[in-house]
Amino acid sequence: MIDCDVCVIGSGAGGGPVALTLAEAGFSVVVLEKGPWFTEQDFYKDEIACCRRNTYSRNLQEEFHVVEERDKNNGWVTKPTYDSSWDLWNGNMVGGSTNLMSGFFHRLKPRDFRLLSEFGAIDGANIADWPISYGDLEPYYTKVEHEVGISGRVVDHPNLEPRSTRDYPFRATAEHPVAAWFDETCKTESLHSIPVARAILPGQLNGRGGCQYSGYCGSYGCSTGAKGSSRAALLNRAVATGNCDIRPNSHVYRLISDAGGRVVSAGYYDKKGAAELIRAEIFVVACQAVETSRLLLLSQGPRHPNGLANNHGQVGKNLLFTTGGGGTGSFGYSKLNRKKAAALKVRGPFVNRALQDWYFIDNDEMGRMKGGTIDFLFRHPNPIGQANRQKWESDRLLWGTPLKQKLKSYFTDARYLRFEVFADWLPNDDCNVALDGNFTDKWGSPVARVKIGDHPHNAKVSRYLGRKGYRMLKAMGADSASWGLSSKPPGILLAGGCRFGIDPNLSVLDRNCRAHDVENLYVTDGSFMPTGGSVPHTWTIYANSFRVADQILSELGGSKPAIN
Amino acid sequence: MATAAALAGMPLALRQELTRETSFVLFSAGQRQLVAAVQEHIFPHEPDSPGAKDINALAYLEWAITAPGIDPDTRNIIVNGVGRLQDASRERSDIPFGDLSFDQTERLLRYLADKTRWGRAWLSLVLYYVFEALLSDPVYGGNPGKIGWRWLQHQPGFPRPPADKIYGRLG
Repeated sequence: MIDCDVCVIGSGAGGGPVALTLAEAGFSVVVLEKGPWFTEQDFYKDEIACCRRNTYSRNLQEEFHVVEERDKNNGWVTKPTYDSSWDLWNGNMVGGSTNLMSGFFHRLKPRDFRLLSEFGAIDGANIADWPISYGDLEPYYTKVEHEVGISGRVVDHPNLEPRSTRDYPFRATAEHPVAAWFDETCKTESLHSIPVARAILPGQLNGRGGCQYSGYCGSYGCSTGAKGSSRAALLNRAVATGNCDIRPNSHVYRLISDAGGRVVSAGYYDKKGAAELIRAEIFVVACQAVETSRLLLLSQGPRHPNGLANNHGQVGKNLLFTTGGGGTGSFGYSKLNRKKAAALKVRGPFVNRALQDWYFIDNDEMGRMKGGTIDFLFRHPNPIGQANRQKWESDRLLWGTPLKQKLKSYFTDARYLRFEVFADWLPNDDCNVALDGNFTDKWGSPVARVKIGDHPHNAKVSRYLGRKGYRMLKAMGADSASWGLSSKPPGILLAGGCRFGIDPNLSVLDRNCRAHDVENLYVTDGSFMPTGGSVPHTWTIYANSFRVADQILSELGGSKPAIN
Repeated sequence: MATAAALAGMPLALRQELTRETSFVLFSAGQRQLVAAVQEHIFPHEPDSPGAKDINALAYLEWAITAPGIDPDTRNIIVNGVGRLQDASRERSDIPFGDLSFDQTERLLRYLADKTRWGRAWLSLVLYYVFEALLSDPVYGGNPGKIGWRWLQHQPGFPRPPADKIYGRLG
């Protein structure tokens, strides 16, 4: 006796494609999402709700993580996140963090799938080739362009990945005048300007509106549905089939498995805190990397005494963050002619430019190694955050007239162009998820203990790319520019923890993202990634989830015949 | 966010002292006067720019620290700091804070920001909420008539939040 064919836990980039594919094929799908169900009618350009409070996150007093990180003496210091500046929750709502993404979309390159074979091992890093190739994923990257809605313009460049179609299905979003300055500078610097594809619709599609160019995109929910969130692009369509039931405010605390090792049900708490149970044929976990590993570890069973799918002790290992850092260039209006100053002040359209000239590096200075991507964008327009950063003059708190003069100058004399570096975060033994032995959440479940150890190679590559980004800003005419490595990785864009692979001793999932030792359990968020690549993960997670959805569909015997 | 930054690196004992649970419901009339005076001192009205009173900074702060979901540490630091400021004023000059001249106020606040960890954390947090009052959407009660946005030539995004869809009324 089952309640649905497929139960999907988590509704972001990993959950949406599975829910849509199977619901469209006629199977009954239930999606359990711990956060609320916001729609376009709940998203406004409101810095307080969006970014200064925890509207899209959890109350850290009730639900938190324990972070273990290196201190200044290279020892380890451990703190719960309610007592630190970390917050590893990200977009807890229907559609997950895809609601809040900027939607800078890049594919991985073929060589990213075989990093170990291509570039060799690095001491202290657990680099592994993927069990699939770029060719296996390419049709699904293309599928995402249509299903999620990716806009852009393909230009040829040395690191352009092979494509089965000539161009994106949707024309590029409107570009800011500074994009042309960027292109001109690339010509003089002999670099390749890459128009960045965006998961943003330039016009209407399937009930979604086009981009309104309000100038506030990343970190904000989209008020028109133009942003390709899992919710707007996929889940709304899944619900429309009549086969998909989305249950918001449903916190899954355990997967229950039987004597044979199969998952039979998911236990969850509903909005009122009542314990519920749902039985399904197949379970798909996609709760973002940390919480996916935590849920499996919490789900011990007769055949899984150390947690579901963890008989080889691999769940939670090789967690991936993104590495990088970034820089900012200031372009003062007074140093530009009137026309250029006016152009720079334009708000709304996107910069949409990146450099991948150093995606792979082979030179005397660095040797031969994997490099990364440099994305260029305007500094986020959130004024409260920006004002607050002006209150310190080195170590002295400013106030009164000096503070007000600094604010006035900062906001009205210049515009700030930023770059962000994306380089591989090397998987290693000091970066993982485990259950904490001391702390529990408000439901009494052990919280995830996240150990964040980075490999020194990360900083080496990031530094190299940071210098390149800085030079680009200066070449574009920035009056002043600065850059730096992040002292800690951002708490977003996580992956790994349940890597897929051939060998069950070294991986959690098989090549189709089914658990090696649980026949009806799949993981479709970024947890499967053995290496993260040096681009934001989202497109790859979407694509892989569509790929796995096809595998599940095939296992279920293909589409159910329609009943008239 | 702002609270975590204000407390960063602080010894645990002091941190526990500053975040000690208060029975705060509303500021007393005297406390309101004191907080308003500090806000106006650190963010004064000038001929070409709004000051704390112009942006409703006091009422905004009161809303912010009593709104549902507020980090209790934030509220406790703000409230406990008011009492500490009174004590510090009496200790250093024998004069109640409200009776200090502009220069005496400046010297006291500068001392507290530069030489005491609690004073630095408190002032930094009070200033943070002045920025919220200056630059948040007017629907929250600060930034009346978009005065803060106009001063800094800030172009807000759109759509802007209606009163029934602001923080605390979503989800």
